[in-house]
Amino acid sequence: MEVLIFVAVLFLLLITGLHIGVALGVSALTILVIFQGTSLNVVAQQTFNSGNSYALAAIPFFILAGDLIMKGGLAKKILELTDIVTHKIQGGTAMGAMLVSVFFAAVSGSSVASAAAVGKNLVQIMSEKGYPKKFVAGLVATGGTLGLLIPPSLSFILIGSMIGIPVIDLFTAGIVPGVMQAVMLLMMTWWICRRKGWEMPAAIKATRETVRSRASALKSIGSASGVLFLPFLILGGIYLGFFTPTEVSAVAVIYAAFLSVIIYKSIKAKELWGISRDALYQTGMIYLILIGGGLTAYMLKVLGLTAQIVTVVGDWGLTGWQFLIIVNILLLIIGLFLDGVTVIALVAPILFPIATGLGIDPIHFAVIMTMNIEIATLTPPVGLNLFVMSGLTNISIQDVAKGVGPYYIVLFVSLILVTYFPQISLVLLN
Amino acid sequence: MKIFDAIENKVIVPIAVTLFIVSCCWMLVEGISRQFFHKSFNFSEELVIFSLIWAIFLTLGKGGQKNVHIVVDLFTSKFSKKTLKLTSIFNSLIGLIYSAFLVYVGISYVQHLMATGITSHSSLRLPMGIVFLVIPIGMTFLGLFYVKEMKKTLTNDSKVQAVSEELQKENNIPIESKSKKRELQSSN
Amino acid sequence: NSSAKSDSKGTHEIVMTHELPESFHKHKYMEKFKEIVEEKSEGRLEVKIYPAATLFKDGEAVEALGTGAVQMVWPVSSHFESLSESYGIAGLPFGVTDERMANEEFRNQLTTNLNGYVEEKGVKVLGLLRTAESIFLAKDVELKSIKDFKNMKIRTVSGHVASDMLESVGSTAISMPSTELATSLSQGAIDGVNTSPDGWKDVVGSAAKYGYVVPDMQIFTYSMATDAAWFNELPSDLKEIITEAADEIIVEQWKETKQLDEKYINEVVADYGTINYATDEDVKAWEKEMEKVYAKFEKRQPEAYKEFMKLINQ
Ligand code: NA
Ligand code: NA
Repeated sequence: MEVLIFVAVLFLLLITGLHIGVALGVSALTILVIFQGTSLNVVAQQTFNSGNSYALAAIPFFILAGDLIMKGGLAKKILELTDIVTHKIQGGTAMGAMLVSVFFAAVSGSSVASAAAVGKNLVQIMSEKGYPKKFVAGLVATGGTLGLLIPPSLSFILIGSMIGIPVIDLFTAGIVPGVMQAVMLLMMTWWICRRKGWEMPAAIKATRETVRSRASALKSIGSASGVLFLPFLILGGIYLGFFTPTEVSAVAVIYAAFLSVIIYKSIKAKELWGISRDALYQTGMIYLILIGGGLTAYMLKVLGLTAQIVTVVGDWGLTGWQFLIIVNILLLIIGLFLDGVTVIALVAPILFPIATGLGIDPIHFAVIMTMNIEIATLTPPVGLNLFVMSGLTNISIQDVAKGVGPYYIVLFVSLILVTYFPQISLVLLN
Repeated sequence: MKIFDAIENKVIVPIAVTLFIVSCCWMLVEGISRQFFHKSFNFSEELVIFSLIWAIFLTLGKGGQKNVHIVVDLFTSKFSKKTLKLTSIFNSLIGLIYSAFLVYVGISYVQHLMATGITSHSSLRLPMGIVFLVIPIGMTFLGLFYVKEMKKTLTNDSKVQAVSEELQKENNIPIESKSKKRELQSSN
Repeated sequence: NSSAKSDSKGTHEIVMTHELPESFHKHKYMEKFKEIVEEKSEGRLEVKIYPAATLFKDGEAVEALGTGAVQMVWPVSSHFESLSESYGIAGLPFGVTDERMANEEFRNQLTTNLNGYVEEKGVKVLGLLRTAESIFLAKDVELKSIKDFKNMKIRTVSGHVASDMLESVGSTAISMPSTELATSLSQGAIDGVNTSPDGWKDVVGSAAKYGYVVPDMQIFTYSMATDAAWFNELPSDLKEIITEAADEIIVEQWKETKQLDEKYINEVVADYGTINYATDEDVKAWEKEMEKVYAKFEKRQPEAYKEFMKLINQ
């Protein structure tokens, strides 16, 4: 009964366009305070504790590091670099653009901010080469989602701190699936360009071969090397044992600030304050949802619902294999309407106990969940990356989604592969 | 209202950003100190987390003014102007009630913590009553944000337009509509 | 709302919480406690156990004592150092030992002392359960004697005393969230960990090859604690039932968990670990170094120190 009221209130509030975090909090409090008579002190405690986790502290700092990198227009440097390799291939610019999107998403930890920063440059450059806007928008939107799978990743930090899995194990588990997806996306890009006849080799020769030289290639490498070092700093810092996975987020901030202010001089020192402030506001968006999600999770605990669901699903006698099908479908549906943070805050506390009960490795499960969230950011009606690219390119959300078109196949196929071959996620851990 | 704006802009936001930077830098200090100088501070974890929570809670309201908080705009984008006005008043009211309630429970819990005198675990031994003060303070400013929103809706829509344009310039991103803008600024 | 829900028939509900999986021994003893008090009170006490943080983590539960949301919690004793620093006596090296705890008089007086530090803050202490004996783990340095602790970066459990102990033998006491512990050890961000035998088996695992125990130096304990205001309002016969049930469990639990420690260590040794126990001579060296820890504690909490000295020198 209480659950039905909760769902009804939540839906009503979401439909009217209330902030998602507040909607979650209000719905949960309705049940807790009115129906359960929960002590007000406990409400205050749970509100505070939603953010009271050391692992979560990495989120704002990875956002800040990402913002610092983005603000400096460093995307262009990387694109020049990838061009050295890809300029002889058909659809080379598109593949380069995919690489750039993936790279930036990877180092930033969030997919939306990077899509926004990279997108602007790419749309301009690629339009000149005759690529349709729709395709570019879809490409950048898709590449951006890999940021959730390749470390550092906000999704893994959230799941790790909520479920109590070491974040580094999740990071490690995301590497192979992330790289696998990147390769598949590149192959798909090549195939699309070939089929559509975009950027034929003949045309490439005429426009580009002439301007390329060894010297300019070296220059590109030199000017991009500072940014290229960032992933090594992040992963090396963790795996060589210098820093904990949480601390490395602060290292990334300092390095990104150093790079943008001192080396590339793309940001003035006094701008750092404003950039930090904006990163803080963005973090607030996540925490407002975490607070509401925390109250909701507590409500589920008080109602004993988490335990009940676990028991009920247990009684169905599902195998892990069947359970994973159901989870994937469920997450895809929820993901149509809700963003990644909300999905995690809402369903992780329920699904993880069931999954581990069925003998599914929680790390493997976290990877599956994250891949579903990647898809969620790309599916209308509510898909953050679609919104960003629609805003940048002035084409409709539906058209961006059409541009993503063939890439959905890659995301689904890789999701299925990762779901049924746990080795893909777990190989680096053993 | 003006005085609250002044306090928020001149006091609260600078304090929050300072705490945010302190949190980041201290995390680095702890890592470097442990790694290279064989010294660890038992209060690092608390300093980092509490500074961060303070920074974030204090600016939830300001973030609202900057349109960072996300909504599901699937339905609202199809609402008529009149319906939109009604729902936005309704939303501001609910937001205000939520914030006010959390201010209330926050104060009540702070009193409980003050009475027991419970402190944090590290050598800082911070009174937890003080640490939790951020709930009533932060939620006050979130509540004020909703009051402002309501006022805006009730008085005029042209101001909303102006604010959104100003935001656009600030972020240097071309945006079609206000709702997309919201999505854009959020991360993930 | 501080007094618990009690209906017209005079039934009192006891909400108990803990943060460990149901397979842990603490859960078993909570169920035993439930069985005893429900039977002896003929149903007037009704116990509801929320395991695995399904309601609260232990720290949250301690903060929530007195709100009516939870009546009883058995957290690691160091949690109560955040209510009163004097509570640190429970963790003083060579202080609370298996042998002393077998003595009823010692046990009761200790509980009285500890309770005295926190009761006015709303927490009633019913006694100490044995969590486990402390063990030091290292990744790739075999710990054989006190000398091997020089310049080691070791992650300690929380509390002043625990870090003083490591610092007095030349180690760097690192504080670090437990979620980062196993990784930090295997990646080398820290050299060692101060934990319990089951922590070696279940949390740290083969990331640590070497274990080292100084017998009787450091026993980690849980404090059986209730909401003081709630407890004091109970009818006196129910209070007695609860107190007696607590003591009954304490006696049995201290014996059983000592054997559990051995069992876990044996399992680890059979699988991947090497264990060393401090020799008599080595124990003497530890005792000598630990005098510094006592001196520091005396400086911080002279009253509690005096009372504790009186207790152990009886
Ligand atoms: Na990433
Ligand atoms: Na979606």
